[in-house]
Parts: sequence; C-alpha cells; structure tokens
Amino acid sequence: MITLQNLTKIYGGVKAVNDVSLTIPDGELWALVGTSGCGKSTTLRMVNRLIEPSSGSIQIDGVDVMAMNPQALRLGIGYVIQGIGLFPHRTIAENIATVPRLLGWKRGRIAERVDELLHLFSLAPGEFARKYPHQLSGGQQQRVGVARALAAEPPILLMDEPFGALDPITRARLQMEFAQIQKRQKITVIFVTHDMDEAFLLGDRIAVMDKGRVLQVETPENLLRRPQPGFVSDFIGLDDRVIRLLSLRTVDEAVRPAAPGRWREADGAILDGTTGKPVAPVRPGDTMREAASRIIWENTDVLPAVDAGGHVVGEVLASQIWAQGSR
Amino acid sequence: MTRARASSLLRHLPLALAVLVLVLLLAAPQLFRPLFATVNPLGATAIYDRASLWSLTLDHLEIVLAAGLVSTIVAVLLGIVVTRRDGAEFMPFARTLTNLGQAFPPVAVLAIAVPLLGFGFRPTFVALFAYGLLPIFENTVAGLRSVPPQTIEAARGMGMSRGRILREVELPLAAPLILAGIRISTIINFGTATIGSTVGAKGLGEIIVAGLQSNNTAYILQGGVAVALLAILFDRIFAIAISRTSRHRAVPA
Ligand SMILES: Nc1ncnc2c1ncn2[C@@H]1O[C@H](COP(=O)(O)OP(=O)(O)O)[C@@H](O)[C@H]1O
Ligand SMILES: [Mg+2]
Repeated sequence: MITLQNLTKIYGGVKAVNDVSLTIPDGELWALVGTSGCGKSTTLRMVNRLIEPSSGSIQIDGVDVMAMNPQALRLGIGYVIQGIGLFPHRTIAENIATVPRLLGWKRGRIAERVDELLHLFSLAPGEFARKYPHQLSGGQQQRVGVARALAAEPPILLMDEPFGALDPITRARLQMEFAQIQKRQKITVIFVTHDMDEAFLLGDRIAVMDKGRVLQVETPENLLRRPQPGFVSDFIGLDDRVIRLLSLRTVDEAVRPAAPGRWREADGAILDGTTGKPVAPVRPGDTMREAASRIIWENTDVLPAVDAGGHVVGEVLASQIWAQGSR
Repeated sequence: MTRARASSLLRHLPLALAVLVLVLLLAAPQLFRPLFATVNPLGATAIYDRASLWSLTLDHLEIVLAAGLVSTIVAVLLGIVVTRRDGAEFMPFARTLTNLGQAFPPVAVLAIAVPLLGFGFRPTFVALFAYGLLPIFENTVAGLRSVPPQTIEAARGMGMSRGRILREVELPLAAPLILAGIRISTIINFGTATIGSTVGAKGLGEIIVAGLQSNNTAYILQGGVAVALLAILFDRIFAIAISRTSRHRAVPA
C-alpha cells in the first residue's frame, strides 16, 4: 500500500504539486492523468525520492520513505520512463540484469531471470539477449525497459508515460501485455499518462490532476458517469463517454439464452436461423464497444454469441448494450 | 579474399607500415643511409651516431607518455568535478587553468621551469603536462555532458549510487570522446617534446637539435621521421581503442 499524505513540492514559490493525498491499495494500478506540466511526474518522482517533497509524507506499507536509504528504497521499486533510459553500452541481457546485479544475485539466478523476462515480453533470448539497445525498434526497447524494471520482482512499479512514444498498434499490444502481467503478478502501479484512453484501459482508479492538485479520484466507470464539472469533465471529453463506458465492459455478462433454432452453425459460420444470412458473432472477451459497432454496422438488434470454440452459446441484445451506455 | 577482409587490412595498413618502418629505422638505421645521404652535406655522417636511435626513442616515449598520463589524470578529474552538480562553480577556474596551459608557449614554460627544476626531464615534463591538459579536459566535459539525461535518471531510479553511475554509466559512455582528447593531446606532444632537447632532456629532439647546429639536414629528417612514425603509431592505437569503446554505437567512430 502506498500512501501519499498532503504531498507538496514547491519550485521557486510555485506549487508544482499541491497537497496531494492518495492511498493506493496493493495490486492496483492507479493512473495519474492531466495536461502537461500539472505535476504528474513530480508526484511520481517523490515516491522513489528522486525528488524530495517540500512538505507532506509518503509511506509504503506504513513506512515513511524519508526514513529509508534512497538507494535501498529504489532497488525495491521498479521505474520506467518515457525516454526508456536503456544503457546504450550494455546488451539487452545486461540491461535487464541491472537491479538483480545491484542486489547481488548469483550469476545463474540472474541469467535464468533474464531469460524468463525476455520470454515474457516476446523477445526471443537467442536473438535479443546479446544485442545492444540501438539495434532494437522503439517498441522492443520499451519492452526491455519494462522488463528491466520488473527484473527483481518489485512489488511496486512507477511508470512515467512508458508507452507515450510508440505507434498506436505497438502501444495497444504492449498495454495489453503489460495489463496481464500486472494483474497476474499483483504489482502495485502508479502510472502517469496524459492519454485518457490509456488511463481508462489500464487504471483501476484514475486520479485527475490540474495545476498540482488532484481534483478527482474515481474508478473509470464512476469518473465517466459522475465527472466533476469544470476541468475534469472538459479533460475527459464527455462527447465520447458512451463509447468509453462500453469499452470498460465485456459482452460476457450480457449473453442470454437464445430460442432454439434462432441461430445455425454451418461450416464454422453462424447463420441467422430465420433469414439464413451469415452474421458475425460476439466472442468471449469482446468489449461491448465492439459489439455495439457490429450491431450498428449490421443494422440489427441482436447478435449471436459463441464460445472460444466458435459454438453458439446464446445471444446479446442491443438493448442490453445500450443500457450499459446510458446514465 | 572478401571485401570486408580487404577493407579491414587496408584500415590497418598505416599501423603496420608505421611499425615496420619504425622498427627498421631503430634496429638498422644503416639501411636508410642511402636515403638520408641524399640530403646531408658532403663529408658529414648521414646517420646520427652519438646515441642509439633506439634509446632516444624510448626516452621520447617515456616523457610523452608520463606527461600524458598525469595530464589525463588531472584533466579527467577536473572534467568530472565540473560536471557534478556541486562542482559547476569550478568550471571557470578549470577552463582558465587548462586554457592557460595550452596558450602559454611550451618554450616559455621551459624557460621559467629550468631555474626552478634544473635541466633535463623535469622542466620538459612540466611543459608537456601543461600543454596536454586542454584537449583532455574539454573532451571529458563534452563526453560526460553527452550522456543522455534519461539514462542517468533511469540509473538513479533503479537505485545506483552516484559513484556507480559515474563508473558504470557516465565514464563508459564518455570514453570514446575522452580517448579522443587523450589522442589529440598525445599526438601533439610527440612533436612538442622535441623542444625538451634544448634543455637537455633525452629524446628524439636531440637529433633534430644536432642537425640544426651542424646544418645537417639528414639528422633533422631522421629525427622528424622517427617522431612522426611514433605519432602515427599512437594515433592508430588510439583509433582502435576508440572504436572498441564505441562498439555500442550505431556508427563506429
Ligand atoms: N526541477 C524543476 N525546477 C523548477 N520547476 C520544475 C522542475 N521540475 C518541474 N518543474 C515544474 O513543475 C511543474 C510540474 O512538472 P511535471 O511534474 O514535470 O509535470 P507533468 O509531468 O505533469 O507534465 C511544471 O510547471 C514544471 O515546469
Ligand atoms: Mg511528466
């Protein structure tokens, strides 16, 4: 658990971070969002003491970080920044091994861990371990940056716009990969981003900052349904909120039984039982947003639902999806 | 032979040639007699024989490398200090010092140092040391400043101490530029060291001075060629060291 209490940082009389209090439970990912210069990075960097607070306190599991040796503190906290900061003169394997080496792990254990992480981030060890950072694409370098931060299995990860410089497709893939790893390993994450979509996709909670202050902290759904008027509403952009609400949920919970014969399976395709026309079904894990797109495109009010094997298990009504997107 | 092999051979040709000619010149200077005889005045010897070329070369190497080593230690330390957060205030001092060392003519340094330190090795050492500081200092500063701030931020964020960051991140990344500074300084001092012979320091300058005094162009040429060969030799050695330390770069230096 990370607790920020009345955290303030003053630069030349200006409060870059102003009286911020947050309590982040173990295993959750909290997104800090806001426009550039609102104090996100400064807040983050006070957690691992790269910046000393002007006032207020930070506790990790009840221990004040100011009472800890800064280097020891940082060894236990993963840190990923936008510029990645890979060591250009060290190989990928050496980069990932940085913190384990600082912690004095045995050589064999380090090698094993590096291998494991390269696999986890879809980087074939045989191909990548001995390469230098400049020989990798931006997306691959960013993967290595995250892998390096996770090397010593820190319970806490601080991420400052880690996927900011990537193309949309690479970014989306890394976001999904990372979300899975974070949930599986129950890592507590503070994630700085100015990209609302990223915050909604990854955040268990979203803290919206403006001019050094945290204005609102909410789950994605509550933030969309009940944003504070003013900056928060403007920043979130209410025009898209239905789409965003639908992105938050999967269709699985909306699947209901279909009448016998309503849908037919033929050679892997699903046919409408009454018209005989093929229709694209919803699959497990599809978001309601994807289902809504298909419903609008097909100009229908119901879609068949299939299981992972492609067999019809029921159907999803448009009205149930619309209900999810309304107030 | 592949094109890569051929080009790598071609790259090392200057080094091989310099070594070959230098070794021949030192081991068997008589071989070159016909060559030097074309420029020496009638009746004079074409090959300097008052001291062995070999021992003069070792003396020359000794003084240049000793002064270079001390210049390197001082200039790199200065460069490290002025690039630290708490050391920036020493920048004007360090700049003035190293610039002065370079701007003050080595001959003048000798003239001042001899009354204090006597003749021979010591005043020459001081002159070369002072003359060699500037390129090493400036390149050290440039090298350390060229380290990407995110790299240092990441190192700090991962729990590396400042000392470790300096040793394991900043210096290795600055190494190619620092070595380039040492290279310039050393190459220049191979030539500059010849003036040490005017105050009795042992070295290849002795042959040149003897040539000047006796109007023997062959001597001058001999000393000059030996110094130039040493300079080329070390230039190539530094080039190899620099490309070794830059192997992580997209474009090798
Ligand atoms: N070292 C510093 N000195 C002075 N002002 C700073 C410093 N670091 C950040 N600031 C100021 O603090 C404010 C917040 O910066 P930052 O936390 O980096 O914003 P964000 O990450 O949200 O873009 C900005 O106005 C910035 O100019
Ligand atoms: Mg920032």
